[in-house]
Amino acid sequence: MTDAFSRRHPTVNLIFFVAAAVFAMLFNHPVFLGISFFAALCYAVKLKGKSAFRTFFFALLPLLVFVTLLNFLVNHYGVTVLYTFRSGNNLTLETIAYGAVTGALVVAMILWFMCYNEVVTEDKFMHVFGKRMPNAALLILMVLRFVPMYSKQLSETYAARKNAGLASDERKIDIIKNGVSSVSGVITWALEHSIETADSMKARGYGLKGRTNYSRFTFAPADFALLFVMLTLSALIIAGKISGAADALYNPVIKIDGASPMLVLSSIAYLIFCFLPLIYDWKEEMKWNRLYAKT
Amino acid sequence: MEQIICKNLNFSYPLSDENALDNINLSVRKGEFIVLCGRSGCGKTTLLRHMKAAVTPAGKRSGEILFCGKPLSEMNSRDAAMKIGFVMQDPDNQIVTDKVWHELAFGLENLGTESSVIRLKAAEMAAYFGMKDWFNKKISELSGGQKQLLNLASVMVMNPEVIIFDEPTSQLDPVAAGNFLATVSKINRELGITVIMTEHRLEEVFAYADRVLVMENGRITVDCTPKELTASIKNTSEFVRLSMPATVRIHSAVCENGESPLTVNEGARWISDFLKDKEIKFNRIIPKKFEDKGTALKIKNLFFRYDAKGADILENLSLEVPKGSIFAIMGGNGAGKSTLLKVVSGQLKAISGKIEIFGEKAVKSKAKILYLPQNVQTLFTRKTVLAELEEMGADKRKINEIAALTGIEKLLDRHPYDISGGEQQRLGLAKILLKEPEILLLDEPTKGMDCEFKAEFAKILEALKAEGKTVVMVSHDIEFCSVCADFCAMMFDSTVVSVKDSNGFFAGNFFYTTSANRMTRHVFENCVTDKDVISLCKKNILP
Amino acid sequence: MQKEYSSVKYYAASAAFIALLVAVTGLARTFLNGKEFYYPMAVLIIVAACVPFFVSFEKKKPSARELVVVACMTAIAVASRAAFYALPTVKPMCAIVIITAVSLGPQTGFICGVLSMFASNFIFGHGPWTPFQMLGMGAVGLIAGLIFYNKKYRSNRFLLAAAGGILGFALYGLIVDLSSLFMFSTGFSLKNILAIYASGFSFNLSHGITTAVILFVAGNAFTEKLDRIKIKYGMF
Repeated sequence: MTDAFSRRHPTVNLIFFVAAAVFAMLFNHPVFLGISFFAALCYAVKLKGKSAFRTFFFALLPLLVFVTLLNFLVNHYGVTVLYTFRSGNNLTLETIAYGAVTGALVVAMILWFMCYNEVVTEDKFMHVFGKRMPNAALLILMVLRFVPMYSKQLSETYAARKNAGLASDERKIDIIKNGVSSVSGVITWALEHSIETADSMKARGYGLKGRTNYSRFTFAPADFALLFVMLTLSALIIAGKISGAADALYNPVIKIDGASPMLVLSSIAYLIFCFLPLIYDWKEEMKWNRLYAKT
Repeated sequence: MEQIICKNLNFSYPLSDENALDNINLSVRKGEFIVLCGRSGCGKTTLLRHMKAAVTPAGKRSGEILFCGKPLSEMNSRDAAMKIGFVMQDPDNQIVTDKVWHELAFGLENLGTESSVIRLKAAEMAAYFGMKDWFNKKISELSGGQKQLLNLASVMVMNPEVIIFDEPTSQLDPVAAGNFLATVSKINRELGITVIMTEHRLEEVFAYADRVLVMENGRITVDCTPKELTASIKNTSEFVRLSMPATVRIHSAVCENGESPLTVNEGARWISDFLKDKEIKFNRIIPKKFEDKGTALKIKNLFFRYDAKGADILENLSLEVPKGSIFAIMGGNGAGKSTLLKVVSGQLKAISGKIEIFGEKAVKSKAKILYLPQNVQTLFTRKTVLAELEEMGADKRKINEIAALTGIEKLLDRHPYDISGGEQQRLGLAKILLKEPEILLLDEPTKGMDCEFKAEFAKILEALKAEGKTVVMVSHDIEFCSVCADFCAMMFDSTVVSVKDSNGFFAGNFFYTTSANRMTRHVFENCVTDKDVISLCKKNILP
Repeated sequence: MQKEYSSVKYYAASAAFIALLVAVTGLARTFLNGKEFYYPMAVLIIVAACVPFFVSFEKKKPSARELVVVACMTAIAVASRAAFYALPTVKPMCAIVIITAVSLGPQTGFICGVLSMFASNFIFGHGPWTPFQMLGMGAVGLIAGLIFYNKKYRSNRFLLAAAGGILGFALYGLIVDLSSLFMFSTGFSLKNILAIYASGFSFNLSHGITTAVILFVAGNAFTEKLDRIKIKYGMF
C-alpha cells in the first residue's frame, strides 16, 4: 500500500518526518498535541491498515496508561490535591494531567515513527545520506545485503545441527546452546565467503578516486511545491511557539494558554502540516478520478 | 590481434616451493572463446587471477603478462577495472549491494560516473539481459541463475573487452547453467567480447568454444580447438578423458582414432554410420537386477505446505524406497524435492500422511535416518576437520574408519574452509555417517563437483550400499544418477509422477535422460550409460 | 584498522559542540521552563558524538577487505538479533559487537555498534529510542575496544566475560534507559530517575548476564575466527 506522499522525493519525506517529530516533541499544548496525535494515527492507519489499529490498542494505549501511572505514583507536585495516600503523599491533578500529556506525546512520536518506517525505506534513506557519507552508506548497503543471507544461513545451520544429532530443542538452554554454536558457524562461513565479496568489489574498481553515488530519485515540480508548503507552514508554527501563544504549563500549576489569534493561526497551520501527507494523497486521488474514472 | 599474452609466467604461493604456475606461455586473440580445464588444484584459478590485476594473489612471480601490448602491471587501475571483467563461482558472494539496480550501478559508481549516465547504462543492460521483471527486486528474492546473470551484467555495464569466468555455473542447476552459458556465448558472438572460462560442464561449452586449454600441475599441456582435442584424446590424462562429453567418451572407446562428435545430434549420426553395414544383433542390454530385501522407507499420501493458506508443496505423495538401494529423486526446481527430504527427516512436519521407516512410524525410530543438507557448510563450526569429526561423539577407531571410507584421512588437520568443495561434501558425509544412520538423505550431493570428485563420490555411495545402508538422494545430475542409482523417481508439481529402476527410468524418458541414451535410442533400445553403449557397440561389431 | 584513523580535531570540535548543546539546554530550561527541549537536545548530542567517528571513517578510505569484514560482523550482529527474537533476553548482538571491537579496534567497534543497531531497526522498526540504542551499542564497542586495546588481555575469557557483562548491563542499559527517562517522565528528580532505572533493571541484568555467558563460552572462538581471516587476508 503506497500512498502518493511516499512516492515523492526522499528529501521531502525525510524533512516532513523530522519536522513532525520535532514539533511533536516541542508542543505540549493540548490542542497541538491532539492534532499531532490524531494526524499520526490517521496516517498510520492509512499506511498500515488494520495492523496499525492493533498496535495502537494493544501496545500504545497501555503505554500511555503506564506513563501516566508512573508519573503520578512517583511524583507528587502540584496544588490540586485529589487524594492523599496513606504514606502522606498527594495524588494531584497536575501529575495526572502532565503524565497523560507526556504519554500522549510519546505515543504520537511512536506513531510518527511507524509512518516513517513505511515511507522512508532504506533506499530513500541512503539517497539522502549516501552523498554525504559514502563509506558509511556503502557499509549499510552491504549490511542490508548480508542480513537476509546470514539469517537464512543461520536458520539452516541451526536446523542442520539439530538434524545431525548435535543439538536438541527440548529445553531452553539447548536452544540457546545450539543458537550460539550456529552463530559461531555462521561467523566462519560469512568471513570466509566475504573474501570473494572483497575481490568482486576490487575487480569492479572499488577504491578508485572519485566514487559517485547513484540515485534513482529525481526532483519533480510537485516536490518543490510540497517543500514550499511545508516551509511556510513551519514558519507559522514556529512563530506560534516563539510568541509564547502555544505554551502550556503543568507543574506546579496547570496553566494553558487560551485562544488567541496567534494560537488559532498557528494551530491551523499545524493542522494542515500534520495532515499534509493525507491531504496530498487525497488531492492526487481526486486528480486520478477526474482523469480516468469518469466512466 | 593478440589481446593478452603471457610470457614465461612462473608463480609460487608464499610458504610453498612448488610452482603453482610453471612456465606459462599463452596468447589470447581478441574475440576468442577459450575454455580452460583441469583437475582441481591444477592452477587454473591462479592463472585466471593473474589476468586481472585487482585479484592477483600475492607470491613470487617471474615472467610477464601483456594486455594489448603493454604490461598488465603498468595499466592504470581505472582501465584495468573497466577493460577486464571477472566473474566468480559463487553467485551470492560477488554481490555487494542489496538491490538489483544498485548492483548494476556499483561498478560505474566506483568509476565516478554521473547518475544520468548510470541510469542509461543500467537500462541498456537490463534490456539486453532481459532483467526487466526483476530490476527492482531485492537480491534476496532472486534465484541462483538470476544472481549469476546479474553478476555478469554488472561486469558488462562497465564495457569490458575481456571477461574472465571462474567456474561460473558450478553452483547452478542445469537449466540455469544452460541459460547462463548461452548468454555468455551471445555476448561473445554479438559484442566480440573475449571470453576466458574455466568450466567442468564441457558438454555445453564445447559447442561455443574456439579453443581448449588443459592444465596439469601448473602447466598448459594442451592448447587446441575442441575438435582437435577429441582427435588426440588418447594422449591426454585420465581426468581429461573423464570430463569429456558423453559423445566423445563413447567415440574414443569404440573407435581407434579420428575426430569425435561433439553434440548429441552429431553423435546420433555417427553411431548410425558406425553400425551402417552391420546387422544389429544386440539392441538391448540386460539391466542389473536389484535384490529385494524389504522396504526401508514408506511414504503414503503425504501432504505438506509452508503457509496455512498457501499451495501444497507436497500433494498426496506416495513412495517406497527398497532397503539397501541408492534411490534418486529427480525433477526441476520447485518440484518439492528438498522439502520432501526435510519432511522425511523430521525437520518439517507433514500436514497429513504416513511415513514408515523399516515398518515403524517415523517418529519412533529417529536415530536411523539423517539428512545431509545441500549447503554442507552449515555443518561446520570447528577449526579442523578432525575437530569436526570428533564433535559427533564417536570413538577414535570409528572416526578413522569413516575418514578412510570417505577419503579425507589426509585432511584431518586442515581447516574445513581450506579444503575444496568436493572434499567439504565428503567431510559433511563423514560427519553424518559417524552417527551411524540406516538411511541417508542427500540433497544435491554432486553440486559443484568435477568429474573426478563425482567418480570418487559414487564409489563411496557404492561402499555404503555394500554395508547395507539405504541412500535417498535428490539430484539434478542425470549422468551421475544414471551411473549410480538403482531406482529413480521423477517429481513434478508437488508429487512423484514415476518410479522405475534406473535403466527403465532413463530409457523410458524422452528428454529427461542421458546424452548416451538420446544419441543411441534410434539403434539401441535401452542404453543409458556410456558403458551400456560401448558394450553393445563392441558386441555388434564383433564378427 | 589497528592503526586508528582518529583525528584529534574532530573529537575536540565534537566535545565543544556537545558542551555548547548542554549549555543551551540548561539555558532553555531556565528561560522557557520546559522539559520538551531535552529529547531533541539529547538526540543532537548523540549525533554530535557520532560525527567525529564517522568523519574519520569517511576520511580514511577503508580498503575493500576492511569494509567487507566490518559489514560482515555488523550483519552477523543484526542477523543474530533477529534470530533470537523469540527469546528477548538473549541478545548475542552485544557479544558480537564486543568481539568486533576487541579484534578490530575501538573505532571500528563504535561504528559496528552504531550501524548494527541502526540497520537492525530497519527490521524491527525505528522509533524515538533508535538514537539511544545506536549510541549505547556504539559506546559498548568503543569501551570494549579500549579495554582490550592491549592484546595480552584478549585471551582472558574471565576478563572478557566480566567486561562484556558490565558493558551490556550498565553502559548499554544506562544509555538506552535514558531515552525512557526523556520520553516518559515529566521531570528529572532523583525519584523519576530511580523509577525508570528500576523498571528496566531486570531486563538490563539479564542482557548483561547473557552477554557475559556468551562471551565466556564462545568469545575466544569468535576472536580466533576473526584473527584467522586477518591472517588469510593479510589485513593487518
